[in-house]
Amino acid sequence: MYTQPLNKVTLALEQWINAVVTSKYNPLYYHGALPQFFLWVLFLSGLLLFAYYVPTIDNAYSAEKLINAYTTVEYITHIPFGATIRGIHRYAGDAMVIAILLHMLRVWFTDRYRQYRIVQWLSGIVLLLLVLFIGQTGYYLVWDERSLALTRMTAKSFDVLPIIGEPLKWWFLNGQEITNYTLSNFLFIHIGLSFSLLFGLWIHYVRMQRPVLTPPPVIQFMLFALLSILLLWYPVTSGSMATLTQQPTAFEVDWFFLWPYWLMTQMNLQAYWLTIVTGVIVLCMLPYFVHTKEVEAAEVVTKKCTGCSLCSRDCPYAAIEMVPAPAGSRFKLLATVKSYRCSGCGVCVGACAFDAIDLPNLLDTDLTAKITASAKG
Amino acid sequence: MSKVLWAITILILSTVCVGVVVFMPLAELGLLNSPNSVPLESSTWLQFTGIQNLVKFGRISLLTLTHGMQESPNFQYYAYFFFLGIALMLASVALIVIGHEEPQEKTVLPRKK
Repeated sequence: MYTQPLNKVTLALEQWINAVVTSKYNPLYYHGALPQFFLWVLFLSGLLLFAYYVPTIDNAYSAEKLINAYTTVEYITHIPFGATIRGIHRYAGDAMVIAILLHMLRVWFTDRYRQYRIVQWLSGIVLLLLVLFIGQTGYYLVWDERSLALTRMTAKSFDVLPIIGEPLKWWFLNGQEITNYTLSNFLFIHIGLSFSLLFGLWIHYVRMQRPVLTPPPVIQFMLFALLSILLLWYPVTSGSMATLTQQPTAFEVDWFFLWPYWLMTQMNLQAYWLTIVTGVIVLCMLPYFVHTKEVEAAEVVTKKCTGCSLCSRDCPYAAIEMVPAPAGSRFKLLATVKSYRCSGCGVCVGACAFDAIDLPNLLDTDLTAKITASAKG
Repeated sequence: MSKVLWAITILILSTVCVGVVVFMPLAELGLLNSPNSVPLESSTWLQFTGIQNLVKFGRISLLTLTHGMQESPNFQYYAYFFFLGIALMLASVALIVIGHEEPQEKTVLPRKK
């Protein structure tokens, strides 16, 4: 397996962190929960920012008393704690991307992304793309020179797409050109898609019996502390207000979210879309590049099953479903194995007190020996 | 780690953590940038305990470390979050030290009857 050396590195890192903070507080054991922690931070800080935000590009009253997206962001920055909340929102987004990438690398290196975990891998890629797009819309909302440049670059990139390009551009700008409705749309996309992440997360977790959703308080404190300290050194700032009659030529790039725009400047737009689509397809196909033998799913010995549900509760992958027992049975329920979800881990065999579930070609005594060996190792 | 050493460690961590938390409201007042904003009772207490000098030293240190901050009207809010972060960090370290002593999870294999 080509990921073996990388897996050894992650295991060595794990042991080193365990030696310092013990396994209870090792963030590597909560790598899937870390992005979700940052998601809650983003929701809460975003709610506070949303309370002040006015999604328009024009002046609502008069030229002297200008109220638009840019001035409301400036206003937010100057109210007590406004700048810090804005900074927390911004850096929590960056931290979320880092956490997602680390989570992705870890499941890849530890070979936990294939076969019965394919739904988690594919839904994870969709979630990553959504997070990147939502983060980018956050940069449009500030409505400084960078926002204008990004909006124009995105709209222009849609022009080269066949068939869907024009409708996509119309949807993105909420019309033919940049108007007040464009910013309303950006706000809707930013908030609406953020909530759709929850649905995506449900799909991500649906095949896991006991997903770890939140890291322990100690890790939460640490992460929030790092965000809070970072703010002082790198306060969030805006550029000049966007002016539709001018074309910004340069802007600062946030490498976590805005790298696609850097890519756009390095090649023509057709090549850009080809690179993005190819990259996503390669990521999706990654589990299929490795050929391993089929998992032999657990089998229920129908005559012995009492329908106690212990195996179903213990199965980490929700691969065992309790169904009504057939007519004539003394018991109410019967365990059935969904072979496409089964990893052949043997947890159900250990859970069953009646020897009613087996792994094919693996005797109960052999399995116990295998578990003992891995526990000692 | 012996029990005495462990108790001393926890005591020091807790004291420093509480000390940093005390800095949070002072940070929000600009770390004594404008002494008038500090309530009179607190001001007297600060002078009496000599913490005032420590707070001023903290302000100068933070401003020196963050070159871009001198101009910012939001310095006190950033400073508040800075001390909040330090307090949370210390609290986490204290919790890890306490949790370190608890027995590690062990694998127990069930025996079928």
